[in-house]
Amino acid sequence: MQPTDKQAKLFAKYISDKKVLIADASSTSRGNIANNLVKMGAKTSNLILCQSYEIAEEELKRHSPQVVIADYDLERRCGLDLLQTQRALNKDAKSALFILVTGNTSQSAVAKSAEEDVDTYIIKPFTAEVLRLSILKTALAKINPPEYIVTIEKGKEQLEGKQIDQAIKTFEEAMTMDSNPSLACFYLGQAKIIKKAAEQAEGSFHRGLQYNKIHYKCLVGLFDILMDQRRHKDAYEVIRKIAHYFPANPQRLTTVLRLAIITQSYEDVERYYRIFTTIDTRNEEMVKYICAALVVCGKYYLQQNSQSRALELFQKAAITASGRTRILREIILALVEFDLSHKAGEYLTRFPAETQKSSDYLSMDLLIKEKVEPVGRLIDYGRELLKNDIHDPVVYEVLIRKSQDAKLVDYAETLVGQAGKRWPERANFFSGLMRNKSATATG
Amino acid sequence: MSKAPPPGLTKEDLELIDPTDFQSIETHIVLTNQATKSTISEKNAIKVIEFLEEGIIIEAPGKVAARGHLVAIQFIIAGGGVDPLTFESTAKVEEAKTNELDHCDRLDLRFMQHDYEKWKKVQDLFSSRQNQIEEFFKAAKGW
Repeated sequence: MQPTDKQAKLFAKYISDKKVLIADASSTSRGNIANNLVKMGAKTSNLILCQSYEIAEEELKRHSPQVVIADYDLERRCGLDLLQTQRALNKDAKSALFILVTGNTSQSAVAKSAEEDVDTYIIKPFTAEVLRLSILKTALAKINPPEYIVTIEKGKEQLEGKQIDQAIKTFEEAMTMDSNPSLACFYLGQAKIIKKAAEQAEGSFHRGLQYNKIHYKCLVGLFDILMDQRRHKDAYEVIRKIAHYFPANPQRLTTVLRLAIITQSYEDVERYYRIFTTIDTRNEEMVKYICAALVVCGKYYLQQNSQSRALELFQKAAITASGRTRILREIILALVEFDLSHKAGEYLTRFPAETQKSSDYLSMDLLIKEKVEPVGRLIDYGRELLKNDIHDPVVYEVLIRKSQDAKLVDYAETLVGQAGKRWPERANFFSGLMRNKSATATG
Repeated sequence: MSKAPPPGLTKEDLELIDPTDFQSIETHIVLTNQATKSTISEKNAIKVIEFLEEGIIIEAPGKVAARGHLVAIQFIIAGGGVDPLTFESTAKVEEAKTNELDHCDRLDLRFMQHDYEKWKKVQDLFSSRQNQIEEFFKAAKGW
């Protein structure tokens, strides 16, 4: 499809006075895109060609170009990140353009770009016709937006000016202007949230999704409302959909995992683990969440008598934990709880050497030994730990049990008192250890 | 053939767009200069920038070919939701421009002998992916 003469002239007029930054590691690509733009009316003197992310960022700050054309993959950096810089520098976002021209055809890159509201995404290799038409159409949509978008922008301004009731009327009007008014539904929902009409806001987002099942803003809007209302099951359904269509956001994985556990959707955790293994940049929080989720899942399967599945998940958690002692501790505690102390020893060996004098390691060592070592030796070991200031609840727990086995009831009671002082929130638990034993002895 | 939807999604959800249908298109180019017999076959050494009517513009490591040279070019394409595709052709270097800073050449290649149908398949694959992306963008952004 060729542009009309009128369209071509309109674009030429638009681009003629615009600074255009082209960021691409390939000189051929930079030159090629630049040539095409010049043929469409851009001035050579207005073109800023950058071969790396760092140079592009510097030039962005220096020139504040209204048009940025970037490759998604800029060596070690992501070209998409330049969008934030452009937005910060260009307050008049309505006429600014951000276009990706890239060899990256992956869905995760495409979805991430759509999330960030990139103007258009052109894949290489392109034909000159596709490149020019795509850039032209995108620009014209900005220069000469349809009435629907003009009305939404008017509504957004009213929202910003705190004219909420007027904004609501404007968005309702916009909804009549397009056969697929998901965006208007989203902003209507936002206006309803400001009016604290959560139910109506939810209705708007749902309506937007009826027109368009994967409208990102409506999905996120709906999710936020459901989370605010602690409707975790419903929120989980929504975030699952978001994670499916827009998989690239690693932070979302943390949220999904948290909700999977809250809603006891244990079957899903392994799927999220597989997604996690494909993510390049993982922060501490994400690792913590995935490990915790795998352990909780493993515990669930132990409860369901699916031992082999549980052990598989514990293995994954331990590998992912890479020596994080809290995770290893939780695995050991779960295994001992379910009478699998013989399996727990393996996880003790995963503690890094430098942590083997830590409270986590030593208390777990004592716990594992409880099943195999003679009472006297265990008590000596436990006492030694306390003497060396290893005050861990598990140490007290084992000692209280074993002291009673050795008929050292007074000592056990002293330990209950000490533990209750250290951990008042668990005082009943420690007292219960005494009572249980007493009940057993008298029963 | 219908696909079972993943947990939490319904068949209806997949009707519009199923992102698992979108596979990256992996392209590997092998180029041999018929005059010098030098070959470039390392992955990602050659980048295809633009499709021409009966040829392509590529970026290759420096001094691989000069204007007028004949080269044998092989495209090996995987992904994109189709069976792996191999396209081969002899091509003439119509233009060769060297970028001294990047140590790479821009080469405009015109196919001399090629399987037209296969070439069309290659172009259609990328064009189809571009259309999918545009549809997805429209659905995700709402306009």
